[in-house]
Amino acid sequence: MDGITLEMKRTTAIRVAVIAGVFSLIVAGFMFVNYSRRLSVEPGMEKQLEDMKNVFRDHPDNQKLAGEIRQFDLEIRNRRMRWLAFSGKGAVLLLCGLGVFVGCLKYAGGLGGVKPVVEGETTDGVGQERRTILSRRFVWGGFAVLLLLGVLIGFKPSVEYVAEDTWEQFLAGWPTFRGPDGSGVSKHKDVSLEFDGESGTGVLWKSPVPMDGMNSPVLWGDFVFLSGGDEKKLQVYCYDAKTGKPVWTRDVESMLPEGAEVEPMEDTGFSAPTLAVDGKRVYAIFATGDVVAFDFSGKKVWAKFLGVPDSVYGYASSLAMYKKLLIIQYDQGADDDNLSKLYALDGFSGQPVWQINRPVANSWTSPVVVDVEGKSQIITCAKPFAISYDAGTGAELWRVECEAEDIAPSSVYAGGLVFVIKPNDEVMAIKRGGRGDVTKSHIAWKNDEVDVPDICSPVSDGEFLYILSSDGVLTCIDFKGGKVVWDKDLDEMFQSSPSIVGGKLVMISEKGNLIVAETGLNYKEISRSKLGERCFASPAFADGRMYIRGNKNLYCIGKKD
Amino acid sequence: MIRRLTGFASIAFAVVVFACPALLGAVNVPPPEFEGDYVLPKTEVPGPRENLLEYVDVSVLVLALSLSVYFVYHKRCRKGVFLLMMVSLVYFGFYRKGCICSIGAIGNVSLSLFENGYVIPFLALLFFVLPLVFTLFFGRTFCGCVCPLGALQDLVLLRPMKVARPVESVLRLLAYVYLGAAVWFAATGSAFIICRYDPFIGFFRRSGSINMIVFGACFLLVGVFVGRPYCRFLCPYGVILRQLSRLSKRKVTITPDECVKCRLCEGSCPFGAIETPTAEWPGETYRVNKKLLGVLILLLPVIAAVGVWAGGFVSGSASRVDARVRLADRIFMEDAGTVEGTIDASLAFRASGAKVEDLYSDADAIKAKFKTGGFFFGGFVALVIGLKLILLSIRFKREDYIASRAGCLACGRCYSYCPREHVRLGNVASANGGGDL
Repeated sequence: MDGITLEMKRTTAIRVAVIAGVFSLIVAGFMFVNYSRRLSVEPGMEKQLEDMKNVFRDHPDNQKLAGEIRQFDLEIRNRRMRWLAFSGKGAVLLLCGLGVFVGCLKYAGGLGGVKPVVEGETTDGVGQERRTILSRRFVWGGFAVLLLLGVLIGFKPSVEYVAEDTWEQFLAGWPTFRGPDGSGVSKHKDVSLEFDGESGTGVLWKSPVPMDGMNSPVLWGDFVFLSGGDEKKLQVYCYDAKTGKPVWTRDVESMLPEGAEVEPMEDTGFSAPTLAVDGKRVYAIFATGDVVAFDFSGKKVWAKFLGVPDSVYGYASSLAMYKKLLIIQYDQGADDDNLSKLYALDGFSGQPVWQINRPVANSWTSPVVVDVEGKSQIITCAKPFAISYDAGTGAELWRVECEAEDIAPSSVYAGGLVFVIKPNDEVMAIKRGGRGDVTKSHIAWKNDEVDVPDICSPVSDGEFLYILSSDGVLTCIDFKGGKVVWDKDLDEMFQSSPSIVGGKLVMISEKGNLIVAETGLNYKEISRSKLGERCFASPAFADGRMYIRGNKNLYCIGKKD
Repeated sequence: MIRRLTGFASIAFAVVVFACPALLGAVNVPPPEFEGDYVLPKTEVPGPRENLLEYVDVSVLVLALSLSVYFVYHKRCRKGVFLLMMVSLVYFGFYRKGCICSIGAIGNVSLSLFENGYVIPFLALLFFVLPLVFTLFFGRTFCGCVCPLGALQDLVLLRPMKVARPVESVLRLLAYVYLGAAVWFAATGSAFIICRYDPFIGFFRRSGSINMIVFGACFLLVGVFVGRPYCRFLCPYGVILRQLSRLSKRKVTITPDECVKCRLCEGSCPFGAIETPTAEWPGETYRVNKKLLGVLILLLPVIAAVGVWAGGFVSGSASRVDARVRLADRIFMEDAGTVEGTIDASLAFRASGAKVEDLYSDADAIKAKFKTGGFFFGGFVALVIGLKLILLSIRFKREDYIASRAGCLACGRCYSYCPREHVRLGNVASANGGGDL
């Protein structure tokens, strides 16, 4: 060992350092090339995969394409994992190489020794004083810089949250089919109900609707919303509520897969579901399974495709809202097909907040969101159950086995009872407060001796229940006992549901005749007005005004200011 | 030759270090969008370290701290210090992957002090306290010998350059700002920024975000020329150790016995921690400084008040460090239509069905905490600056070359520069013939 000099040790250390340095550079070079290749190749592959996925979204039944996407996705993942493994091993080698490199250099440097440097005077008073003054200035400068940075950073004002609560406004308006709770009862008392559509008397404005649709108008602020469509085109319309002028019309691009067919019956059409509006956006759903949201300026916010609905007569359930959730009752197939769902989509994004499988068959009823003892429930009807769900979570609260095939009338809730129609068979009242299957425990009464409707939904003023059959028989039923109080044949055919405004019953027939009658123990017709065209939609009510969708036109009934 | 080689080495090192980020950055692989037979594995979070291994960690820390005292004070051996430093780097850095570390434990301690629901892990508490206790007795031996972050920087220090005193004075303030912010954010339960922005963790784990690895690489690159830049100018734990070190029972001395004022050690410390003898101030300078000192003492409350105001002013923006505040801001702006589209977090929130009112309420509560914390933060930073200015106006008399009590990292570099050390070791004879050649 005596033969090994300091110089030899240093030279050896330097040589090892050089070798380790070159090794590190080579490893880094390989890793860099690997990384560069990944950067140049992977984005292209990812884009190709995304394109394939986009094609698949338009052709969801293309299983060959699905297989190709899976294979390609797997290939990309494998490449990525290989790259990661390479990178990981390289990182270890690189660190080892750099460790040896730095260690040897330090060793060599230590052997050489850093020579002490002696400069200037031992105690340079002037220099020390100068450094102290400069240090103070620098610290002041640092303080100033920190303050400036603080001001720059803090200048961006903090967001003041104002949770815009449109729910109260929602409940006071007519934002969904038959009003906010689907009851058909308007809170407004002073609404013009007499007019003549042909002469224009009592009609504030009349505006043509470009395409057919069975849906009813919904209102928010100064806007009236409708939809229309056929097998070729789907549209959403926004009208100025004051003047009737169209504000915007938007085509809805259907995401119906190529080759898929939707053939609703003529009475249903492609746009039977009534829209919903929440103060920020208007939502529409069509018989094709397309759901779309527009803001009030007509800008599309989002669109979704729920799949081709398996519906015998064509999908017709209207949309409902619970706060910021869009509620969609998407009933399909037979009750044991496990196809039916209840969706709650976030109104802003269209993201599903919850979705529940429903053990029911395809139906044409609409969900109603009602307040039961301070908690919101969604009540749905479809063969074989009337089911209630917690509006916030979608958890099932109660169910009653009471429904049959081909159900269209929706339920209503009034005075602590849920009224449900079994088409052409019976009408029944279900007591609130149940949990689980309450078929045997919570049915308050049933009545199968009346002319039970098969399309029109019932309406109640809290004292009596009124049902209107398609062939024009209006029946008043005792709210508590379920006995018939009176019935009246109106000599008209009806598809639109009756409403109650200012304590008066309002019904509009297929011919477009609007009948206003008193509510109470006896039937008394107040007026009969002619729209001048056929009508299948239920009217919407605002303060002093009524909006009716005729076969071809949208009408605003009211008194001029 | 060595100088040329280290110059070349520095450049090569810089190239490699800057290449690293691209090579080491972790990649998140999203799960497949389609359904299949494959079952996605459940996301697993690493469980707490086993008790026995926790005891091992603490034992290693205590042993390392004890050895550091032995090498620094008893043996006065730089090689021993360096070796211990490398062992600590391997164990606490690469083996324990930089966690838990005493610096990051500041977050745990702060949160446990201000949040009743949080119980600090015992291991974190020990890692926080033990170095403090050792510092109180023996100075900053933790920094010099045990801290893996310091060790990594010490390792790459190839061509040390001096940082001018005024520059050092102002840069050191950053560490106080960082400490204040770290306590502030941790106390509000928003973020452990020391851990989140640990510049070297990516190297220890050989994984991490590209940005953080670039950040760490920059520190290492600067560290080739400037001794331990993170320790000196940013380390929040170092700030605490600096102050405790002033009170330490024992202190590092350059000379084993007496200073002969040979000045050989003057340039030996790459961390600027050797204080030189002071000269007499001229009478006029003394009077000016005395007046200045009085003014600064009177100004101190004003400076602190400005800091309190600035801290409160900046608190609104600072609260965005909190993920819940950021989410609330985003949701609010999305709803107000002031931003386009959505982000993953807002989509997830919306899909959760949670009430936005609750989110806003939480965010407001966090902002209120930030406001209070901001006053303290601003006041603390301003007070530090004020005191620093006062200290700079006080004349400390020194007659020997001494290691700064606060600044000395106990690395042991200066020992070999002192001729009295060589006499002690018997390498040379003393001036009065006390040693052997």
